[in-house]
Amino acid sequence: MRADPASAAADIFEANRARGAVRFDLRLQDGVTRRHHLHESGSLRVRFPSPEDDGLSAMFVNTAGGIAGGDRFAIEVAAGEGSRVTLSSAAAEKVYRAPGTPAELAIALRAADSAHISWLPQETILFDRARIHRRMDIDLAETASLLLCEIVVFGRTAMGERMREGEFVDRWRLRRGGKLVFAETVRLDGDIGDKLAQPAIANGATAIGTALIVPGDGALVERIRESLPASRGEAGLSAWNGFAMARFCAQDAASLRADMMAVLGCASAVPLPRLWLN
Amino acid sequence: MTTNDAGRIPSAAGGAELAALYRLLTWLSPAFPIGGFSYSSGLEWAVEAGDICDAAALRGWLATMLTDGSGFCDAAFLVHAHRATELDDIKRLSEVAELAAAFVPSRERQLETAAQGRAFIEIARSAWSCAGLDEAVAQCDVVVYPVAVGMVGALHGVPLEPLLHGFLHALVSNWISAGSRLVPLGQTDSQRVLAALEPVVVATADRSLHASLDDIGSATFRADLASLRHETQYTRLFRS
Repeated sequence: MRADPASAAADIFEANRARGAVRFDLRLQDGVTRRHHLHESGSLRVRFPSPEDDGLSAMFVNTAGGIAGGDRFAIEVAAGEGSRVTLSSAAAEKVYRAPGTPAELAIALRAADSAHISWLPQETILFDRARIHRRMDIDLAETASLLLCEIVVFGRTAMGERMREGEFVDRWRLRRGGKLVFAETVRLDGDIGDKLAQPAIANGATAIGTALIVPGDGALVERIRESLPASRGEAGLSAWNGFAMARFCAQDAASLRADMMAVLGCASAVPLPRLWLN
Repeated sequence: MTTNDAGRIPSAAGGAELAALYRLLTWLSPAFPIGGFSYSSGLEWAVEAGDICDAAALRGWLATMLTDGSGFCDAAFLVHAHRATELDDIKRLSEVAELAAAFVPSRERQLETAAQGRAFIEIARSAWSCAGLDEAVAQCDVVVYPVAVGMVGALHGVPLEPLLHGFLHALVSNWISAGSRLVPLGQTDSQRVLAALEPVVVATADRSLHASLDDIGSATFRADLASLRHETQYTRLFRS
């Protein structure tokens, strides 16, 4: 008996999808953050460069080199009471053209009381016809803190690529003390380049970015506004529900990153990962 | 005593549709005192920044807000609140209310939707009371505007589709009213914008009827930026 060609093709497609997961938790021991359990599988790995202070740095490496349609990646980090960690990535995440099935990326960050998580990956670059669904679930205890930055670039702008087709769904849920304080789903599909051209969407810009700072209030926002230099792209700030947010929209990743670093420089005592400074 | 002490429209009674229409027109009229006129959803900054300078630009900006922005999201939250209330699914209703309250892009948009929701519930309680309202509200931490309309509509037995279209009409009319004061535009131009957006409202309502909670999403980065930047706008007529 022969398998029908369609299901055989589907099997081959499935067998060639990358899978990767990294899970670890952190504990504070004698005033120093140490990792406790660590699980790595598939093409997603984590490296821990030498600590520079009492916190820990973790660097994700995607050995598959990028994300293709149907790939599934998961990251779970739990920071125990009082621990501090900075999470980053070794390279910009490239999302390749996908025929149909979107890639899935699930990120779950948990921080117990007095713990701190910085999530500062390099930008995500969507190639034309890329499809990706990402979820970011963040659970913070009442006294935990967070600094999170994300940059997404639509199309390989250096070579003038425009996204004519694709799908980008980015679902964020931020809980603090069990209460949902911020929820957002960015949803762009179809002719993404055409949508980005609309004035209320991006007016032709191709890079967007978001920073979340917890805890954050009006006083923090005022302080940032007062010391902020003129931005290269567009930027806006606000605080509500106990957190602060900065939003960015720019022509390219370099301008956006410069604007974001200016805000972070005013906002936070957390040192930025060295990779950001290159 | 008022005639609507019992609240819910008896579905078997003659004139039920007309009673629903009467309530719907009242709640979604600009005269319903929830203060809608004082919010611009960031349009005030978009006009100041030069993004909206005439009727065509206003129409384009609002079409995007409907299709890919808060218009679609709020419509879908109304749909979910109405269905959960109708099914008396209190747990689901509180989930919808929590998600809708967190689903805002700025402090001023949060103020806009939370203050109007609160006002809507208060007026419903005092002038349009109906059975089950206090119980439903008690399940929710914050009742934002679209959830309030969906919840009260369902408790009164107002059918979902007309309620949804009425809500989107009220939303767009309020945006146009703000935009026309800011640009400024004449009354005829404002009506032309409203007429031009009719198919966009119909399409948005249709999509929101079929959207799961996970489907709700937006992409109006610059409209969101406008509502952030409005916070520091020097001269302001509007609260958002």
